[in-house]
Amino acid sequence: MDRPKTQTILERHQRAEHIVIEHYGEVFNSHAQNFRLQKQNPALILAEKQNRRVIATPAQYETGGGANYYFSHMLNCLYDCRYCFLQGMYRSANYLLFVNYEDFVTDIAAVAAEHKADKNPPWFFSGYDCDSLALEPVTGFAEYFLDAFANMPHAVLELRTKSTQVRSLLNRSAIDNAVVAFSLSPANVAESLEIGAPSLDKRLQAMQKLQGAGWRVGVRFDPVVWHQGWEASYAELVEQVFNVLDASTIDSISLGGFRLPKGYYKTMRKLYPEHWLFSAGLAESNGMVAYETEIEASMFETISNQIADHIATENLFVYYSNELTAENQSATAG
Amino acid sequence: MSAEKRSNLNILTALHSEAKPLIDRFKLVRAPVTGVQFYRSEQSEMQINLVVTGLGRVAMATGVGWLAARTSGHAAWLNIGTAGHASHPLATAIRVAYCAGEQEQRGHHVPLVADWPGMVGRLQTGDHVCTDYPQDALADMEGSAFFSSAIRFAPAELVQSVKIVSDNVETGVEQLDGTKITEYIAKNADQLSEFAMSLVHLADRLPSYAAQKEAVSSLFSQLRLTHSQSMKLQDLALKQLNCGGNLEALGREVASAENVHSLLKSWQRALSENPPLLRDHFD
Repeated sequence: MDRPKTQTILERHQRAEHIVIEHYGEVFNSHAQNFRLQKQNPALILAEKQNRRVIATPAQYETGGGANYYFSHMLNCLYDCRYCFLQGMYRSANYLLFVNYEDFVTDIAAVAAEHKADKNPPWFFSGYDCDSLALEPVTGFAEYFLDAFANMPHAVLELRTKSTQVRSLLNRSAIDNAVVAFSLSPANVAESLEIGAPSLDKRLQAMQKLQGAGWRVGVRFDPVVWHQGWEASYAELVEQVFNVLDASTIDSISLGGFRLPKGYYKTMRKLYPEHWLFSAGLAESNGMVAYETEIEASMFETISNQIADHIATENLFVYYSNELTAENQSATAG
Repeated sequence: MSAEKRSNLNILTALHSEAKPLIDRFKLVRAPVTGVQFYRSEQSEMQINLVVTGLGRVAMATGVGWLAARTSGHAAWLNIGTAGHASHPLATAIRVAYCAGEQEQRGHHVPLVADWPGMVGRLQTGDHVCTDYPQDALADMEGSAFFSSAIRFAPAELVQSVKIVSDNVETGVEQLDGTKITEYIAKNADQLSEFAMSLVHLADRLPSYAAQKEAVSSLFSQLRLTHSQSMKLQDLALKQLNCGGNLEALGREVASAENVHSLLKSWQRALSENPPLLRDHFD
């Protein structure tokens, strides 16, 4: 309660009902909650993250760094993307913000120090369990962590987002060791599935501004969504991306399929039994539900070829779902 | 979601004097049931049920269970009643945000999703009328039983309670009677009614798949199927409907299929070969 971040947020939301709880788990993990209903009007929970603040990523994941880690200053997202694994992972749709940023930074610095002698810098991903920038006016997350990473030049911060809340980045000088990675989908897919998220055009405009201001920008086609006319949709998306962005300075592009641990898939299908997304082209393997290998391979090959016309292939990373297991799981939130 | 049928509203009160303003407001009529005070209004699109349970936790839990067994489909559950509070003025309506039994270590945090314009507060449930009011909490005799039993039948977001302050340190419980209870509840009837409807609106957002399941099951009524085959066919048929398929075409495929295995294979192949039609979201 006494942390400056808590006070700032409470002052900003004076009209909100404040309810004091002992531990966030009492509310966040309580039984009988319905994510779909709660998403209609989520509450903001402020808490401290006590342990496991910095976690190694699944082995497959890398976009040019050395060791890879992720951290989550927040659980759950302002947006309501139908494919998002958070719906399957958490009982609650409330936003859970960990306000002890200084503890995260201490841990990140300690992990980064362990990799000081590595050939490639360690990479710290934000935006697995939330969108890194969507609540920036409330959380001040990017502002705080970019300051911290400015003092850790041997470590890289990747902010995964769909948000156009980039003012705090544009108001400061770009730093070399931060990448702002935007999740992009074709406009029709975004409109259908990424509920509440900025349109593709707006995301591209934000990316263009960041590039213009000297920020490293990444592109994440993740998840690639199988639908009628996907070839045309993704061809148009690739064209739009390279029409707007300077291909020569794009940090990296990655492709990932729609994939979920089986348990999450079952939960999400129960929440949305009527949804087409959970109904076709999927198969279970190694505890994961993902697009059938042939479907995913066909989409990845087609889209990769389109991308390869614009950027060097060493900057293109393709994550095949059949290389994942439930223990080595990952999926897309941001 | 079925467009014509809305979710039910299940209201529980301990006393008839608490129920009376709600019975009037929703134009409920007593149903001929022995042993239970049960009122209802079966409107064309929404069913409202009200049970007067009697005082205490056992009575409340029994009332919830009885009503759950009697109704089907999605429902919002609302406990409306009176409670004591040390300092709040009489007739103040307070939505319960947290409820615990007197002897319980951990209580229930109520998800506050549906809109409520008034105050929210904590509720402590005991076995006796409370004259020594708890600090910063309402005191009643049914709340914790209502929550712990009703969330077995509905998501916690749809299980809500509003308490109307009926006594405090200035005006003790000994001055309370049925007429005053009815008056306090009636003063808040507009707000309670609006809240109840916002809960029903929220419940309407739950997926209602029963009609589709029934329609799909009817496709197989002429086939001899094991339970497992029946479940698989139903699953595949529903998935095809989700992806833009139509019931008539599925029916024709059922009629022309050589056997169940070929039908299963054919439908599985269809879902693997035909990308789904991109549709707008539902919410």
